[in-house]
Amino acid sequence: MPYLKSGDFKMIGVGDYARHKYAPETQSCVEQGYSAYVDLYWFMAMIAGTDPAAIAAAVAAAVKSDTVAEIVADVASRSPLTLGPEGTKKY
Amino acid sequence: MPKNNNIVGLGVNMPVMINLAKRPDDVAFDIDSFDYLGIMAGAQLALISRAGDPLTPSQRWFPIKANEGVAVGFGVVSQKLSMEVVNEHDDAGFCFVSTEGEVATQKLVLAARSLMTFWLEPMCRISNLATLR
Repeated sequence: MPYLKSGDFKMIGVGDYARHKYAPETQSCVEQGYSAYVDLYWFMAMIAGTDPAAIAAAVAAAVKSDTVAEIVADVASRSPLTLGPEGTKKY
Repeated sequence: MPKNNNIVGLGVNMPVMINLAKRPDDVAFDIDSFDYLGIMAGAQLALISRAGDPLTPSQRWFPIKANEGVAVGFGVVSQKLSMEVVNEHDDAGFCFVSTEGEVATQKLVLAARSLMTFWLEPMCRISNLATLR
């Protein structure tokens, strides 16, 4: 976030539901009284016919690895979030 | 497409969900088309303005009519939709400016062509590889 750190930009709100770890003092739109937020997620999808159990096991193992945690932290400043097929459908 | 256990699709939810909502008959799949569909990570979306601009995180951003005509840059429809809620709530008079993505929206703010825009963390990490000024 160099443009925030350099002072060119300032953060005035959180566009998704929860506050950000790197700016815990900044309120979300919901907290500011607006009934609006955009939660963005990356997902993996395999076409019908792929073995879901095998994929789920592989994904679960990968997400526990330090390498994946490091990549997600570097790209999104977050920890991996694995909801699985059932959790994703509920979402 | 025949199964071969070698095809992995990666995507971001919002564009897919908006297309499924707006034109479901034109989209060649639905949620049941996949045997595995799992969320892997979340993104963080911030709202930003130039440091010298009057908006602050500690107050309601847009008192009624106080900022009529404010340009708000956005890169994807979901961002515009969320700010339309704010616009309607406060009668803020936003003028939405469509761009091709995060780099373009940041340039608008740096050039004072828009007062506020979105900062999507991963996209901005990538855009920082380019020179914005």
